[in-house]
Amino acid sequence: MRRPRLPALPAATRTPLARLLVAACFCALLIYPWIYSKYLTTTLTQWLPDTSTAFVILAFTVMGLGLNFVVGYAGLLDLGYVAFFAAGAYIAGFLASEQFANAGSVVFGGTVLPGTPGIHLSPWLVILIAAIFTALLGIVIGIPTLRLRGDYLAIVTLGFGEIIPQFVRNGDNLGGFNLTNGSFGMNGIDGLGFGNRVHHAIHALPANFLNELDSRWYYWTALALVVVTIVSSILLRDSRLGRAWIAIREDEDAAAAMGVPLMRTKTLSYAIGAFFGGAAGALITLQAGATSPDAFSLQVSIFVLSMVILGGIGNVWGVALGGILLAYVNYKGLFAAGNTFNSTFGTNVDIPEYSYLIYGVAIVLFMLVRPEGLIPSARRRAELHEEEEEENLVPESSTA
Amino acid sequence: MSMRKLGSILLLAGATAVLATAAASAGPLSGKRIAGLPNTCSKPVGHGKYVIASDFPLQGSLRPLSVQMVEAVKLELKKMHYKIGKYSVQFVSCDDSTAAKGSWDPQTCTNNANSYKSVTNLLGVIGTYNSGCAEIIAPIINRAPGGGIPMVSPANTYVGLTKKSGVAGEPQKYFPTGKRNYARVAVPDNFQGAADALYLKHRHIKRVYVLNDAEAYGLGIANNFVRAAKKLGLTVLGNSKWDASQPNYQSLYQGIASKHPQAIFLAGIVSNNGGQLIKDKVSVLGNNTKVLLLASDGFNDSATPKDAGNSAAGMFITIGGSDPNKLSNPTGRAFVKAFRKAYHVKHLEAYTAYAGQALLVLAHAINKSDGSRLSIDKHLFKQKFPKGIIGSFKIDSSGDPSLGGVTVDVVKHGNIKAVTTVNPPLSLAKAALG
Amino acid sequence: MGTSVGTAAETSRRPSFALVPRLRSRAVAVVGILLLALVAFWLVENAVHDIRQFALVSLNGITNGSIYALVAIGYTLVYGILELINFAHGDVFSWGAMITYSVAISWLGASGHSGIALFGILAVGLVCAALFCATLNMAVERVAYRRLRNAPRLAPLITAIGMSFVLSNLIAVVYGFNYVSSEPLLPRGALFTIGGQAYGWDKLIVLLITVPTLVSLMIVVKRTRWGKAMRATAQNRDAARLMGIDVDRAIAFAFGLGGALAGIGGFVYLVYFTQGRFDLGFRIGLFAFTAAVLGGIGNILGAALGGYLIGFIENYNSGLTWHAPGPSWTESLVFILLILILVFRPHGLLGESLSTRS
Repeated sequence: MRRPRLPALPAATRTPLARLLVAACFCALLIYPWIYSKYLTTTLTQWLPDTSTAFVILAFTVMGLGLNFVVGYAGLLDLGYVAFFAAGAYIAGFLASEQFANAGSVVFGGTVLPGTPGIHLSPWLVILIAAIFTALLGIVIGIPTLRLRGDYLAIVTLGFGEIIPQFVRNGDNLGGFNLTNGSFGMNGIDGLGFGNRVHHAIHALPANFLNELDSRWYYWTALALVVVTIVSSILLRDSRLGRAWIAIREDEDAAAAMGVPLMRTKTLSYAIGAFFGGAAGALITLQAGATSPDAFSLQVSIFVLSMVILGGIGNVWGVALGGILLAYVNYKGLFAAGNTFNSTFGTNVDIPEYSYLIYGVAIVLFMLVRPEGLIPSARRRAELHEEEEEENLVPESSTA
Repeated sequence: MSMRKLGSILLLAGATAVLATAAASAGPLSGKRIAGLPNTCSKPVGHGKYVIASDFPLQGSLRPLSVQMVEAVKLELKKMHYKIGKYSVQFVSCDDSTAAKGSWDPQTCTNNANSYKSVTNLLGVIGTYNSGCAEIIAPIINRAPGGGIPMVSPANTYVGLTKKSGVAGEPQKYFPTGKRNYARVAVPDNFQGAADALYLKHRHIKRVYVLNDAEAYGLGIANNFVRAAKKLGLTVLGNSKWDASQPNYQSLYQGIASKHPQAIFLAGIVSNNGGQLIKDKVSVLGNNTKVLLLASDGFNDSATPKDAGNSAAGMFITIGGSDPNKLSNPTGRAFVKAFRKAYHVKHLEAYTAYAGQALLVLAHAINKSDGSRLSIDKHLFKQKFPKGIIGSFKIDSSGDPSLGGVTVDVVKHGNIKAVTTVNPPLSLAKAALG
Repeated sequence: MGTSVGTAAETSRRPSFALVPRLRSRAVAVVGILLLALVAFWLVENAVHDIRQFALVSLNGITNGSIYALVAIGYTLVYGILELINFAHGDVFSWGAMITYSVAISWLGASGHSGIALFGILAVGLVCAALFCATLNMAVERVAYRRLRNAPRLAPLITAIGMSFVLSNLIAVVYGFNYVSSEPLLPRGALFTIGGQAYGWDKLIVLLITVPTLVSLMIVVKRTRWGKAMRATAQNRDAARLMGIDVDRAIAFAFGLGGALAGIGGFVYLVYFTQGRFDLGFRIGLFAFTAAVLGGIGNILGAALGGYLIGFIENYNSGLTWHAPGPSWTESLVFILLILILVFRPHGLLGESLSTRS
């Protein structure tokens, strides 16, 4: 289908109102732990997530934003994003627990006491290393597979999403070596914190986030990661690389003809998406203190993909909002609705029993009503609009 | 307006209306819940300043078992009039399972644990059922402000939670602060593995093949069994994993058949396609008198005879501890009687008496403590219960009970019935640890 | 983006037709042949090692593979016509199994009968399952996909995922989260024995149901008017419309046909394995879709071939005794095979390269 040239579109953040809205949202999120404790006694706590739950919601939002690089910007359907989550989680486990107690005690800025066996790097370093390693993994996975087109790629990524958890599950005996503890998973992973040395230098920075305010610190860390991911998204989107991604998404052949190096551009989107997936995986693991192969199912990949598509594929604000909403529904909203329903009508409906059903109905309805997502990217909106106009001429023209 | 647009608007309006009703009705009826506790917890019973929570898988095929454990805890608390020493307590029952999985769920365990950590007046947790869930919860609540939240499990059997089991960092890694907060009254798996091997030896079995479900519990007990069996001189023909999502296992058993086993030992849980596993065992290797079938306590579940049907007939299933319906000590008999009367049931599930006992262990420690969490933690260990529900026993310095009896059950006419009790010698249980 | 990096970037400018770089094609071919030789050696060695075992396991592979093949075709039909991965298809299959349970076992009490009565009951069960699933699949298309035919390409994918949740959890609402199970239904008497192990009638019956179904499906698609309309729609929807084909009905027909096959697959699954649960369709659906891609998506013969291939992998891996990785690696092996096949043959075993539909 031939498309008329699209006008240059202003990014949503460039209008003053949008800027104000973003700033207000950010401030609200920043002070959320206080809001939560202030409204603790009111009915709102029924509906608002506590800070640990809010942490999980934000961490999953980071994954949604990471996947947006792959699916939203470069237009590569990835059904195995959970592989990156798993990689990040296990790297965090390796570098901040007693897993390799045989290697002696390596405590480098870790949040444990000196002399604890195993490797205990500073958790901030762990997140960074996990992200970088996962990005490399993204490249390694990408090189043989990114040549494939469309849904062939999707099914291969789905394959990796299944292979990597299975590798982790069977990784307790790799030629006799126990890498991953297999089904037992890894436990006793260090929490976040600044380490004793930093704490002694600057008392305001806690050695670890184990005091009663710790869930706030975790929450703020996740929020910071969300901000970093959003800023990276915007910067990259408006860069040369971002334009190359969009060119590939719109028409791979045309992009190649215009001199966009397909493989490298696609692989980079994959690597960057993986980077944030790994970071989020590491962060979640450091907070939970444990990880196990059970946590990495296709459902997680689908959950994260739904965030991107429901939010508004390719639009960083849409994906952020979609991520927060979907994760909220999953971790708090359904319970809250269920409890309210039960106490209002005096019933005893076991809501978690129906949560997937409700979830399924909700995403089907939502997509039917708003197939372009919550906040569609300006470019997509233009495309859809254009199609609707065409539709009036030829009913049900072939899909774009 | 086109039909399409009209349709979307109607849909949207409907969705908004549902949400609005839900939001509007949030008002006056809420507030009874205890702030900070997980979403998965029930409303509290009893009244008082402090809270005791239980944490079990309340959905899926283990529900009957879990519900009775909750009821046992409630029964004991009611007997104390919700007062432990000078502390008046409320009780909530929390759920670590999801309906979709029909069993415990790691993310739910993590969320529960993080919530427990934030509740300052939580005196202790009774739970969990699954060791895998305890592995997640214990280290998180160990780091709670004011000391680790005391946790007593009636049913965790995985060895590494309290003692070295061969996995790096166990058991210290479950207690990152270095101060333990976990005890249990269930018989650890090494006793069960040893008893299973011993029972096979009693039945003159020489060649056995082991299948495990590749989960922490199944793999752990399979390894315990293999070590004990080797120590007893049995030939272990193999110890392989079964894939729970495979449609059938005929090829697997045909591979095993060529090794001519006299017995198959299943280490795992029945909800991992255990029914099919038993059916295919019988269809390939013959019925359970021809090739003996023994399963660990993950199969001690009403789903086993239901899913496997006639194929389950004659299979043996072991379970750590003694059959609650046959307790012979006076305290135990009194408990069973009171429980049957209070809840109008005849049959007590496997861990019901243990749940009551777990609460008593926690209550005893609370009584002796100065009220701080660290003090309760300290008193969990080295307790003596000469007149406990489950018999006379001690809790040792690592939090394990001194009881090691294992009940062997058989499936007969669709029911699971106790046959005998095996008491493995301590040396064999140690050998099972490796 | 600066200078391009070597062959990868250069050849990738040659879109769609030469996905594997020509310069490396010889090396790739050599590696491919080596891998193939390795697998062949492993199979031969196992066959020599214990030929009876090999034969038994192969027969199991054919039986299980037939079921995968039936489900895989449903994926391939829908993909061929809509380019949509119909995630809900595996759950339509589950419904087939559950309806069979309700009709044949709960209502008609199949396990208490034998001979002609049993045959009659099972025939009723089969027809009910096929009809129900055909209707269900068409309803799913009507509700969740038709409105989105001109929406962004990923929107129907998400509604497909949503429908998958809905369908599988509706099973849970109706039948509970635990297994439904029955005593063996099909006669299990030995047809012949290999090394003391019986090849039962039940396995033959599975083949007697699935193989004719597959053959008749191919005839329907190749020869009938409806089949032709469907293929024309798959090839070019607009041209088909201009030729007077009712595109909506052709698409509905594809869904109905795929649903019926899934229903028959569910029926076979339940009467052969005798148990089922709400999440049954997840793994079967995953493997069946993989089978469809393996064979070349959109190609019906390829989907069937892929289904049998996966049936073989699954059973060889768990039943062969000489250096088999074991059942805990089955999924990885299936997907590694998939990735290898797509690297060497980017359009699957029998697939032709997709036309450049953007």
